[in-house]
Amino acid sequence: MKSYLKRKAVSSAHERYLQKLWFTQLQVWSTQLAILVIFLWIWEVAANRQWIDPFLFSSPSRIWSLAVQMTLTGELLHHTWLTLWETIVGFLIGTLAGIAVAILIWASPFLSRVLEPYLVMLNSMPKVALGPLFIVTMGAGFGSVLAMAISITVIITTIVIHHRFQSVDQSYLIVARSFGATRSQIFRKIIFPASIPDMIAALKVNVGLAWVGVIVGEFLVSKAGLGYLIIYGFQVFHLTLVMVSLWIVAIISAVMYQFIDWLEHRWIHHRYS
Amino acid sequence: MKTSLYAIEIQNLTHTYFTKKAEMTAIRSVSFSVNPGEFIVIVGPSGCGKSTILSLIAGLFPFTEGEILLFGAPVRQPSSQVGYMLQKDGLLEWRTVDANIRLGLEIQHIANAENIAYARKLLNRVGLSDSLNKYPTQLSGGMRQRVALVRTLATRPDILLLDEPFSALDIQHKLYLEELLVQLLADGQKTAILVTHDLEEAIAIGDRILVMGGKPGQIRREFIVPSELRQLSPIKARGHPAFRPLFEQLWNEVETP
Repeated sequence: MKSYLKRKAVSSAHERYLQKLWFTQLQVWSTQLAILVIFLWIWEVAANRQWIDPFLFSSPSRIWSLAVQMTLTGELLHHTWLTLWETIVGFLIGTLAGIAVAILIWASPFLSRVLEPYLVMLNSMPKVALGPLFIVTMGAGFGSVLAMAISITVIITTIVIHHRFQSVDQSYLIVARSFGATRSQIFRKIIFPASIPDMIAALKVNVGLAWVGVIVGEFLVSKAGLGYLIIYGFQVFHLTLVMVSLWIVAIISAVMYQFIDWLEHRWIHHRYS
Repeated sequence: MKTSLYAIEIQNLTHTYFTKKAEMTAIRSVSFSVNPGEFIVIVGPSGCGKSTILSLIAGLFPFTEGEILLFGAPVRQPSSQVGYMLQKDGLLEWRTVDANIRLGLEIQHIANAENIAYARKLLNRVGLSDSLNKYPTQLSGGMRQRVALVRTLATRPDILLLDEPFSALDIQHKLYLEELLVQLLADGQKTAILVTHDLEEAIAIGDRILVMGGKPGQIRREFIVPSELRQLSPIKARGHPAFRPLFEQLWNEVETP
């Protein structure tokens, strides 16, 4: 690390400054790690000494050994992979369809005004309540879970991106129009690229929403997946299984979020700021 | 197409903005003509319709009454003969300087090697060729406005419309850009209309000054800048003995309500 700092430093004062930054970063990381370790330790001790009921709240060691056991049988990977796949497909389709609808209604201001009350209604409606409709039309399986994830992401994406299209800096539009740009040129050269940061922000929000859709979808219909494990564990009162699934959902959704965050930084480094 | 002696002819131009609550007539019965190669400056208080006239000449939206002719042809929509520049540079943040100065060429489907080379040559003229691959956020306000000027000139418009392009800049950048503008326009024998509230700027770079006022806006008076001032560069003109008297006259005309 020292040599890395030296390479970037332009002077010894700058090197000290970088070291200070690095030291603060280390402090943040170690505090974060300490909080996690202490939390798990208190949980473990509390469960072992019966301060909390280990039957209800399980304990880190029980969760760990069940996770290891289920990994060895391949069961955990199977359920995790299914849920992950449903989430990724659901959130990609939901986001892309949302952007596509936003483009469509941007192209026709008349259509946009006609559809507005419907969009508002669909947006404020709890999409989870559509579950029974999905099940009767698509059967109790993959299709319904996917439909849930898509329905929960698509409307809000449409509204946010369409709003963004409309609020692009007027001076950009005047410049393009003064050069004689057609409406389609204005969209391709100005409005769409100007909205890319917001589309990536929508991806970030939609990761979280798609997880909600998939887990609830699996609660309702599925015979597999992490949502299924949670509801199954709850029904047979095997709460360690619920905890294992919760931890995996938490870890994977955080990783997905970080991945999009990384994508955002890579893609739009200093171009948009 | 009938030919005209004038680069721009404005006849009895009236424009009314409509909103849900009201209508507001921005300009009424404005008429003036601009000779090819002439530099017109329009001055006047805020809200007198100066900017409206420029957007109408640029064809950004239809006017209510009257006629605008560019080299004899009526204006109905934006024309590639016209270059339009605003106080806000409108540089696209996600494009490099190089990509920004090509915007007009791309929109008009003329982004060939020759025109791109011309745009880069202009960038060199304004002293920014080393910023070719930078993004607008890495440039100062004056540099950004120079890039915007290059972007406007890259499509080789015959007529340049400038809506307070320098008013957000500090005095040094402003003077430098005035000099650049006058040099670049002299190269191409271009016709220009500049809208400004800076009376010194008006005298320093204009051939003729139109004073607007009132609501709705009308042309109150016209000043011809004497030829001895016109021949000088904007900075030198400010030091000429004929500069102050004209400034006083202009000041009185703009001030009186």
